[in-house]
Amino acid sequence: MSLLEVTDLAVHLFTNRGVVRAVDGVSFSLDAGRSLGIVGESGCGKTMTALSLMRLIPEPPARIVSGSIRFDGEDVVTMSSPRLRALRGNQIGMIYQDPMTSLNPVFTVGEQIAEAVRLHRHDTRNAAWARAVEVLRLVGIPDPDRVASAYPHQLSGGMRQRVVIGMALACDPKLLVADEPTTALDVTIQAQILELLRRLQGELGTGIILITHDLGVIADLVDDVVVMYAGKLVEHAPVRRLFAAPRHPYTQGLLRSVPSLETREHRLLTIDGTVPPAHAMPNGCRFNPRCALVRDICHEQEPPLVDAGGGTQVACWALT
Amino acid sequence: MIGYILRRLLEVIPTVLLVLTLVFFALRIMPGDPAIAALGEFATPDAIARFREKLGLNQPLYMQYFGFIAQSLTADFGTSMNNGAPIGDLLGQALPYTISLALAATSIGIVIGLPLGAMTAVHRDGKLDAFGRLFALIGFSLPDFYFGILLLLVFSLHLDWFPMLGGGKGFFDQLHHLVLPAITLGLVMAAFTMRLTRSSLLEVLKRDYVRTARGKGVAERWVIFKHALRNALIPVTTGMGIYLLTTLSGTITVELVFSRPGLGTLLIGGVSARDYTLVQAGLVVFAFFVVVVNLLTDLLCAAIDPRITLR
Ligand SMILES: Nc1ncnc2c1ncn2[C@@H]1O[C@H](COP(=O)(O)OP(=O)(O)O)[C@@H](O)[C@H]1O
Ligand SMILES: [Mg+2]
Repeated sequence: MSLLEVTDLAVHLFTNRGVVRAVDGVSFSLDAGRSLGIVGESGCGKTMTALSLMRLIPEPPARIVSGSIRFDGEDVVTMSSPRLRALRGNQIGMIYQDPMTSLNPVFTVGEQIAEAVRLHRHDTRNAAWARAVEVLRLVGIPDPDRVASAYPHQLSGGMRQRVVIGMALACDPKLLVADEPTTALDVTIQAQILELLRRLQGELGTGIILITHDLGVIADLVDDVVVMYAGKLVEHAPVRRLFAAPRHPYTQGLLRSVPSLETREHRLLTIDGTVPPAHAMPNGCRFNPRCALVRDICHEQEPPLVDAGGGTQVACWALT
Repeated sequence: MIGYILRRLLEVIPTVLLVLTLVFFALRIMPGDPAIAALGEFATPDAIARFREKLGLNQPLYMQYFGFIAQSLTADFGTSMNNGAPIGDLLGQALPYTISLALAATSIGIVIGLPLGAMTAVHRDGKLDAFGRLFALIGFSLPDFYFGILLLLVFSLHLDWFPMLGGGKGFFDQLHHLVLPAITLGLVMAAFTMRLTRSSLLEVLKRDYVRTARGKGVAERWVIFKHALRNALIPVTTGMGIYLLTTLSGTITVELVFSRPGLGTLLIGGVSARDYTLVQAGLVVFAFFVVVVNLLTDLLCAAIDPRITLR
């Protein structure tokens, strides 16, 4: 049985300007100890997907309108709030995009980590604090005893992200969800944090969902990749396969825009155009305004997700 | 923290000097000769000269200034020009009535305003929120003196639950006398605190770290009362400090309505009796209040928010 099984998930945002279908019929699954990348440009619904896994989406305006999220066999979508609280921070740990804003400024980082430990393990204050110091050491923070007593504003961005990672790992979760954990950081720090995630993955054997808009980041970090475009899952493939033989025109475009390591040239090629605004989604395939292979049917009907061989699934009329 | 307290105390010194200087010059700039004001139009030149001599008004301005600063700092305000009573004694009798009123009103503001503000934020647009809006509307639009008189009419004159006038003698009597004035002043304080808490908490509840707390499995109750409220209290404390200063003038109105023998009553009495030295001393005390309230506000903020003292 899979650790996580997301089926036909749809998250819509009910705003004054209309309904935004931020996530629309997305399915994927993850076995224990495995890792999955979710890739797509900004605004594709990656964060909404990630937050849904623990039902952390901002309600209102957001709501899970259909689908199921089975974690260890239990559906998160219909779970009672006590069960949900027992899941959050305990079975699933979450790393957020911006470490500057995701820590509470009025509590020490040690307290913030220890809080999760006390909540889920019913440890004493001292034991929880000791665990906080231990995870700070685990995430590579020098002098963890001292840092535990520091407030977030006294730490650098990279340090804070290590704290957030430590907080997510404090209760030995089965699944770690990292939503663009390096996007807000300097390039050198980015590499360090990715290296840390790689090391932790090897040491702890935690299942990981790593979200990014940069395919280059995940090549050697995940087993499988889900490519999202405008709330839709457009391609799902093993990572090697995706890099070797990308099928969807959008995936191909994303791959071409990965900066090459040899030349250090940044984003020479990008996909023309931008993600359509949420309230003006084109009919049929949502990628059709930017697609080189567009044909009539693309304007009329949404392409279904079909098997394309080699473990790849793709949603594109040009390939069916 | 201790370093911060010391630094903040040191900063009080220039503020106090500045405020005293302002009081001094404000009184000198006021039109009219205090001697004529005190002794009347038909005082003999001889009497006026003696009066000026006694108050030191014939000395050069800078001597008067330094004398005034020295007197203020040692709380030696001389005697009342009118009845010769030591001003220090008059102030000592009046101050407890004003301080107790200000403290009681602030407490009412906090005890009612904070929880109500938090609840209206959490149940935004619900029934309680509608009630809160109405409460704020009444609190803000009802003038102090009008509300005070209303309370007097209903609860003193009609129901006879509370004494009409005065400050009371002995602890329990004084407490009894404090209730209606404190409610009068506390209502607007509560309305203000409630609205400020509500908007501040709504703002904080949108922050990322609130989501982080939920993501750890913290129960919603604790997300609000531990993680969000502590942060929301920072602007509330600052706002209440400023508001308390504006309510100090409110204490004057309320003291007049309830004939409380507090600082406001003393000061107004001094003004109408043209008691120059008394008014001067009263202003110094009010100015001192302002400095103390500011200091306390800052220290409270520092206790809530570690970013103020730790870098
Ligand atoms: N609070 C919100 N109100 C309205 N629309 C939102 C809100 N949050 C996100 N969206 C919209 O939902 C879509 C998906 O957003 P998100 O999941 O954050 O994308 P990603 O993480 O891939 O950048 C976007 O079109 C975005 O504009
Ligand atoms: Mg995002």
